[in-house]
Amino acid sequence: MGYLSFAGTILGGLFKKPVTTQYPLKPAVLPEELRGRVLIDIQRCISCGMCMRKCPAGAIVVDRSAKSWSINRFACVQCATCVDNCPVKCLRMEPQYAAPGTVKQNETFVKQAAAQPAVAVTLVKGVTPTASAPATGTQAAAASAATAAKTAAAPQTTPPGDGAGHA
Amino acid sequence: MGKHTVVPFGPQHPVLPEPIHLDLELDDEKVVRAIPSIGYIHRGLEKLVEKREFKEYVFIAERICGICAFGHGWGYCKSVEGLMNIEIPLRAKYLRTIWHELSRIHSHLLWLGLMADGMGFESLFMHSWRLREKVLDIFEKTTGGRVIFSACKIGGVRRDIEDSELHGIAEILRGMRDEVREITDIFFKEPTSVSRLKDVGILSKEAAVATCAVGPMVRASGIPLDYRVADTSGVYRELNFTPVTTDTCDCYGRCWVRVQEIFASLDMICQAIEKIPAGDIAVPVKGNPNGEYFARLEQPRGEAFYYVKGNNTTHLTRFRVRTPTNMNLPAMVEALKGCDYADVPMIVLTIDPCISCTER
Repeated sequence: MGYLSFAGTILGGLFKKPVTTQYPLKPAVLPEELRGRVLIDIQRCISCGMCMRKCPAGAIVVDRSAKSWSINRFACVQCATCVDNCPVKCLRMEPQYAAPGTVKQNETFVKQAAAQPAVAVTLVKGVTPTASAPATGTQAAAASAATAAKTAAAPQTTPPGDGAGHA
Repeated sequence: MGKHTVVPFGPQHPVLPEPIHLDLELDDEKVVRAIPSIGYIHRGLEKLVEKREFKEYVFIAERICGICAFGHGWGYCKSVEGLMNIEIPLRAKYLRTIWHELSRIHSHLLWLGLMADGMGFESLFMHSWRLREKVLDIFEKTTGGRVIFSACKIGGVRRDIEDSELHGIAEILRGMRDEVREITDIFFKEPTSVSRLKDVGILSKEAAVATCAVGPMVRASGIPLDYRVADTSGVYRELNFTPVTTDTCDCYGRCWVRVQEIFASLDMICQAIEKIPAGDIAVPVKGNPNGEYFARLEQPRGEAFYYVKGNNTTHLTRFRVRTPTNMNLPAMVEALKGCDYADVPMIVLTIDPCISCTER
C-alpha cells in the first residue's frame, strides 16, 4: 500500500503542470485591483493639490503655476489615498508596478494648453523609458495603444499626443 | 556535572527569519539557561506617530509587520476609534474580520513552512507555501496588495468586496480544506516530524501563566486564552468559535494548535461570508482624538496591545504596541531550559518569533 501511494504521487507529479507561475515565459496575470503605481490623466487635472496634501508619504508635488504634477515613485507607498481624494478623478492606480530606475528622480507631468490635443509628457531626463511599459490610456492615446503595444519592443519616438512614452 | 560552554545563537542563523541573539549556556549538550537579546532592527515606527497625522499613520502602523499587517492596521484603527467614540458599520466589522482571519491562515501556513524548513523537510515547506499563495491571491484581488493591504482606515474599511466575489472566496476556502489537511497531517503522522516535535520544549501550564505567554504558545499549554471570544470590534461573537487548546505543552502541541486554528479560521470566514449584511463600509471621521485609550486584538501570534494618546490635535502624542512575540520571549526562555542543544531551533521557531514587530 505504501508503495502504491508513493507511485501515485510520482506519476501524478509527472503529468501535472507546475503550480508556480511561469513568469518570464508567460506574462504575469495582474488583477485589476492591484495597486501597482499611480497614473494621472494630466489634461483633466485642475491642480487643486488635494493629492499632495493627502499623500501620507509626501511623494506628490503639484505646481499650480506650472500646471505640473510630479511624483517620487521611490517614496510612494501605493496606498491610493490620492486616488480616493482626487475631486475630478483624474488619478488612478494601474496594476503594473513602476519600472525600476537607476536615479531617484521625480516623474513629472505637465498640462498642455487647451488648444493642443491631450498629452502626458515626461519631462524628466535620465529615466530610461521601458519597452514593456504599457500604454497609458488617455483618450487620444487609446486608438494608438494597440499599435504601441505591438511595436513596444522596438525603440520608438513618442509621437506628440501619445501618452505611451513615460517610464 | 558536564562541561559548561556558552554558545552564541543568532542574530544570523539559518532557522531565524529575523535577528535575535541568544546566549545558550550548555552543560554538555543540555541547555541550562538562555539569555536573549534584541535590538538589531529597531525602526522607530512608534516615534513617527508625532510626524504623521493620525489618519495617515495607519499606513505606517500596518508596516510594523509584514505578516500580521492587517492586524496592526486594525489594532491602530480600533484604538483611535475607541478614543474618538466612533462606531463603525457592521459590514466593515465583517470585512475586517474576514481579512484578519485570512491573515491568520496565511500567517500559520507561512509558519508551518518555516517549521518544516527548520527541521529540514524542504518539500513540506514548499507545499505549505503553495497553499499560502492562494490566500495571497485572494488578498491581491480584494485589497490590491499582497502583503500591505491599506484596506483599513479609521472609521471603517476602504474597500468593499462584492457579494459574488465573497462567495467565490468561500468556494476557494472550502476547496482548500482538504489540501490543508493533506499537508498538515504530515506534521502529525510522519515519524521524522513527530520525533522532532513531541516532548520538545515543554512549557508547563504554571510556567505559561507565570511568564504571561500569549497566543498559540499559551493555548498549547492548556489555557484557553484567546481575545477573540471577547472581541466586540470584530464579529467573532456572532460566529461559532471556540479557542483551540491542547495540553501537551510541547512543540507538537503548538504546531497542532496552529493547524487547528487554520481550520477554525476557514470555518469562521465561511460563516462570516454567509452572514455579512449589506450597508456602508465606513463612517466619516470628524474632529481630533483627545485623551488616551488602549485596545487589544488577537493577532495570529497572540494578543497584541495598542495604546494611543492624543491632545486634540491632528497628531497623536504617543502610540505604543506590545506585540505577541514580546510576551512570548520569556516563555521561550523557560521552554529552552533543559532541552537538547539540537532542539533549540525548533523551540525558537514554535513561538513564531516576529522580531521586527517586537522592536518596531
